[in-house]
Amino acid sequence: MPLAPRLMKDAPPIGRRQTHDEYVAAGGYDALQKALGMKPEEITQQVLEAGVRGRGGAGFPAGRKWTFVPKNTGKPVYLACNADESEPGCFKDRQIMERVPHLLIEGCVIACRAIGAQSAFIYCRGEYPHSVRALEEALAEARAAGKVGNDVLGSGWRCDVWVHKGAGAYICGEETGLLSSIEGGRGYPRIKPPFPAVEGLWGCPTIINNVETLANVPVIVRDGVAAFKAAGDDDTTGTRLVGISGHVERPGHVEIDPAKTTIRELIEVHAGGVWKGRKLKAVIPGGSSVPVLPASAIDVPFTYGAVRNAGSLAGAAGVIVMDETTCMVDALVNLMQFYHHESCGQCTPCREGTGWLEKLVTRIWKGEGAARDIDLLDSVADTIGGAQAGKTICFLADSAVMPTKSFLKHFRADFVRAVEEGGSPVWRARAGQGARAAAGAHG
Amino acid sequence: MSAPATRTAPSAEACAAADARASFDALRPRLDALVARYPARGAALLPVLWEVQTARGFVTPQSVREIAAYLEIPAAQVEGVVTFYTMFRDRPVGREVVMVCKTLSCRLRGAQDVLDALERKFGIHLGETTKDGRYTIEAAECLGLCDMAPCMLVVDGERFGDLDPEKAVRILEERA
Ligand SMILES: Cc1cc2nc3c(=O)[nH]c(=O)nc-3n(C[C@H](O)[C@H](O)[C@H](O)COP(=O)(O)O)c2cc1C
Ligand code: SF4
Ligand code: FES
Repeated sequence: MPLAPRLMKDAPPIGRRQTHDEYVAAGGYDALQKALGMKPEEITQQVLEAGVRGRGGAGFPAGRKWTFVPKNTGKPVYLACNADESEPGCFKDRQIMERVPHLLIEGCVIACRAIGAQSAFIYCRGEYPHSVRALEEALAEARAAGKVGNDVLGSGWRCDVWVHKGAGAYICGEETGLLSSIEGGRGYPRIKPPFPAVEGLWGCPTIINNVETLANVPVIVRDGVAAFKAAGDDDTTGTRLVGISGHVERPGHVEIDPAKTTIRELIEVHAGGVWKGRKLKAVIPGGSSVPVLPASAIDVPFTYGAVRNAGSLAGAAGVIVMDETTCMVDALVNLMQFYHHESCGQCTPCREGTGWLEKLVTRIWKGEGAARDIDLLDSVADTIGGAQAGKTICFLADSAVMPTKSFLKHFRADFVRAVEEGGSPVWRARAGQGARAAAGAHG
Repeated sequence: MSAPATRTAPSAEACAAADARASFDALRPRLDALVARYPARGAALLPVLWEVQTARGFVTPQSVREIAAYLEIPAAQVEGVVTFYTMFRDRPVGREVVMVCKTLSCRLRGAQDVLDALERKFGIHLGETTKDGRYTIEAAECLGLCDMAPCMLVVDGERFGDLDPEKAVRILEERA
């Protein structure tokens, strides 16, 4: 089903940034002008009615989050835009920042107006120097044009927006880790409650929203709630920007109507199908932290509800495609290295548990595992999170558990084969080549 | 993952040379502008570290002391932050750092072959610096360039995608 894109409506081709003047010519910053004429509660009410859910992964309704900011505390309020985008398989926010950065800036300023903030920090990962540059340039234009700064559109209202550049740590994408990092510390997540909306940056009320969530705000204010809800269904409103990568002919991103686009269409229509004419084996639909789906489960629309019913999560919309030749043991080793490496180490179940998951699955991968190691892997996963979730400060531990449990559920045969045949075919090929320490980058 | 094979302290000469590349006082005007963005001085630590590291190549012991004094925070906080984030360096690196993605979307499209080829061609282990001091090459977790997989990022420079072993080697050789 074709869709008139909204976020990327006037986006220049990949590799070029829309300038302030181009944005204005296309109606940009009209929503800000409109918002300045509204009461802050009216803006929040519109976002609430639009039903836009957080695009950072958890899918919490943005408008509801905004209402959690306590009134009249006498403290300043802050907005933190989550542009950390470190989830493997996700690269959608990069498209917004590099091609239509003014859309995000306008979203930040309107959100500040709604929640009563006068400063926003866009936390952009250090591995995105191009995004940082695009945002800095666009912010300089926006300041010069009076869209950001001491006197927004001549209203006398001050609103500052700054980019805060990270330096390589997945955990800074977790909302409270992000706050720690903006305050100048290690990116350690914090125990909730208190929730950031009540006690965030410097102990003050802080709203944290994803890039795409905030980029939707000008669209809602400009076009109205009904127009916004024309895409999606009751539960998943608006469009979604989806990234598709892995074993497809044309990896890339696309803005879709989630109610009218299935996971199969994302792969076959938007990404040119599984590469090399091969068959599909597995799909991780929402970024590496969500459960994997077998090829038989992909005929579902890309809404939160439909993907959940299929056994996974739409998450942060990073679709990773694996073809029939993929060894799922090899794929899981790769993911467990990631989670173990990125665990911040504060909680024992996560620090030790992700290490155990990596060690166990590596053992099976190298042909040193026994049949009971497969069950052990499953039970270690249960001990860290899964059924017994909530033993850790943040959800990183569970993010390692979900792939593990689902890989075993749907692709146990690959693990059994690795045990019986002396390791993953990937390992055996490398060992056969006599590559330096056959583990290579695994080492 | 990105930890160098050896963790010996940087030599006094390397530190002195790095410190000599930029005096802290010369950096101050830029740093003052960064500090002004935050309601607390210490919050400017990450941006200040970026400035100092870019000017000096790596964060030397003297940089740690200077930054701590400047931001009025303990030196241990500065050290703690430098060691927590993979992109901050507390020892010398090549003139450029090359991050080569090793995570799933890239692995599915041949990242391991690219990593192997770079190690072989430059005669180093991942995380080490080429003999001519030009590049530090390391395996990185997802760079958010999965649509360009397999990919690599020359830090604060260009990014390259659709790599294969020959292409990756050629790009690094020809940038010289
Ligand atoms: C380990 C971990 C990593 C996360 N990484 C990101 C990220 O890179 N970007 C992001 O927007 N949200 C990320 N999140 C989700 C955030 O914690 C938070 O829910 C989100 O930024 C809120 O914004 P939203 O409601 O607009 O989605 C992560 C969560 C966890 C547990
Ligand atoms: S769950 Fe893991 S990543 Fe999250 S705070 Fe605990 S140790 Fe750190
Ligand atoms: S997995 Fe390599 S850039 Fe994302």
